[in-house]
Amino acid sequence: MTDDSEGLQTRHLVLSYGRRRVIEDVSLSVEPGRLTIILGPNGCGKSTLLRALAGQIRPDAGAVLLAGRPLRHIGARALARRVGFLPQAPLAPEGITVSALVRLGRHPHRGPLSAWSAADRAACDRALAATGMSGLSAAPLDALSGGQRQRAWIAMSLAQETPTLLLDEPTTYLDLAHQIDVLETLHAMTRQGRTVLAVLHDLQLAARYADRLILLHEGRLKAEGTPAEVLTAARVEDVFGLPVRLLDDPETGRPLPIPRRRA
Amino acid sequence: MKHLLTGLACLGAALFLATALGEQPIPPRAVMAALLHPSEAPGQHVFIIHTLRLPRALLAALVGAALGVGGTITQAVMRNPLAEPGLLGINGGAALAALAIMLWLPGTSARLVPAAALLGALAAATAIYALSWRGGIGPQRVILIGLGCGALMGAVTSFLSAFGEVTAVQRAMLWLSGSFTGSGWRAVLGMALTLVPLLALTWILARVLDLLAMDEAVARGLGLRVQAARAAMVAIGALLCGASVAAAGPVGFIGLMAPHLARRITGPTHAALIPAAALAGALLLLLADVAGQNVIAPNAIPAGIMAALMGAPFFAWLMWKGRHDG
Ligand SMILES: Nc1ncnc2c1ncn2[C@@H]1O[C@H](COP(=O)(O)OP(=O)(O)OP(=O)(O)O)[C@@H](O)[C@H]1O
Ligand SMILES: [Mg+2]
Repeated sequence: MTDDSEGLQTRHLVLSYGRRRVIEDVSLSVEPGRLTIILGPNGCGKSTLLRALAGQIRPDAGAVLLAGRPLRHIGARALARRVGFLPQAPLAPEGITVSALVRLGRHPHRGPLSAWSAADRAACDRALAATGMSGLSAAPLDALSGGQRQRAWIAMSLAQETPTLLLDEPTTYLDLAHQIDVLETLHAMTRQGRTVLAVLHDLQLAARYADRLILLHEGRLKAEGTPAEVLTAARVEDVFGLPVRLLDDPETGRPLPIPRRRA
Repeated sequence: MKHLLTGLACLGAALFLATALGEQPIPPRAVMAALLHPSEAPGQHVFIIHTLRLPRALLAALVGAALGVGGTITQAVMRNPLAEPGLLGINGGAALAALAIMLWLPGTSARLVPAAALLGALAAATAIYALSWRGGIGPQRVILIGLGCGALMGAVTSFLSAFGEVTAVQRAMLWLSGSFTGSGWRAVLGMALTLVPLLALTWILARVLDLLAMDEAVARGLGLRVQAARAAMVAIGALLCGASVAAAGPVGFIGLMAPHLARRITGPTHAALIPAAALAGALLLLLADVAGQNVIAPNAIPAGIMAALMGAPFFAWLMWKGRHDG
């Protein structure tokens, strides 16, 4: 495994679709071995930033660095062994089973002719177990509920066993218990030394589970740091246009944003 | 594995049927005799089976297999289960080039027609790919441009045949309907030598097809260079279908039907789907050719027309199923 302890960074990153600027001059570091959560309103550029961190779109200016090297200098397969990426609402071919989907996660670790190995099988089994999908592995993806489908996709990303994992809204569609399960899984991964960066919409869960938060607003980095540093009532109101009160989370002692009723 | 053996057994049975049936039916026992001990069997049977029916049946099976795999590739790359190799411009380009050769160079050897067809197919596929290019190709755009180019090439083909010299047009029409009449061992050998390496290559790249059929961002995230992989797979598909069209003329629907039937048995994973689609294509086209020779004997319906006759209701069924599966 390559030493990715320097982690992912962006330097003065500018991203756009055609002529439309979406990310403006964002410089940040994703702290290795930690769970970082990106927050921000709809359309502020979270998915776009994540795509660039995964090497899926080219910067207009600035750079994305992995362990100090620009992503564009890293080969596609080599990158896929170091950084996993799960997009928001991905599509799968009709009729594919959960286990076939999860096995695809092993692709970057296999040569074109290499056989399915015991290590591949073990990685898939671990991924299915971690997402509670072992019992559904033979089911076709089309026949699952939205939440089960989401967990199957997460299992695919886990099977990729990359030191860094980027997930775009991995908990949408999940009921509260499964949201907590996913976040616990991601948190546990970071305690084994892996780096996880996820986009989330739930401020309360983000505050509870994240080691670090990244707050985006209209394509710019608004704040970066621990939940206590990032989540102030004024900033949340400014970014989301929603007045909140901050309580102390009795579970964690961290800030717990509670939306106020609109007057 | 079990399905594969069943499929091979069915194909064997169909090949046997194809050698027994025809204008002059030969009883099964005599077919066996002519196949196993040709030196002792009646010369007429040996001639009918070894020179006429067996190469024809084998060619139909090989062409069907190539179209089945070409269709599987097309559907994976276009991420659309209704896509078929015709969208790559194969049939339209081949038909146009073959017709032009037959009308304008009537004296040339018939051996030039397959070469022209292959070139026409590859040229059309390249043109469609190039026209769809915008810093990469998107499946939707290829489908739209493929439909447009197909219609255009069809119109030019009709125009040419409407004003061409009558006997040459008649000869061209037989070729355009996709027929195995008069296929010999040379064509079988050529098709086998094309099919086997391409089939093996496709099977080795089965996981690339699995990824191409997925969400593009996911495929890229798993380390696939999507554009390069698409171009390579389209090239393999175009060669497979181009070789088919050169051997038998344009045959539609097999490239659509075979992957569908195969997928119902194996599911969408390509390592299993590719051999199954090859077998399904071989069986379908072979049966279409046998049926075409026998339903209104002594007249024969070209295999391409039989395939279309089977394919049209199949397509309707797909649409109906699509509507009712939600
Ligand atoms: N493929 C695209 N082409 C053009 N514009 C796009 C594209 N994808 C996103 N955008 C635009 O870029 C902006 C940022 O989109 P992005 O998907 O990054 O937002 P987001 O923060 O992830 O939002 P959400 O919370 O709704 O997922 C939006 O205004 C969107 O309209
Ligand atoms: Mg998003």
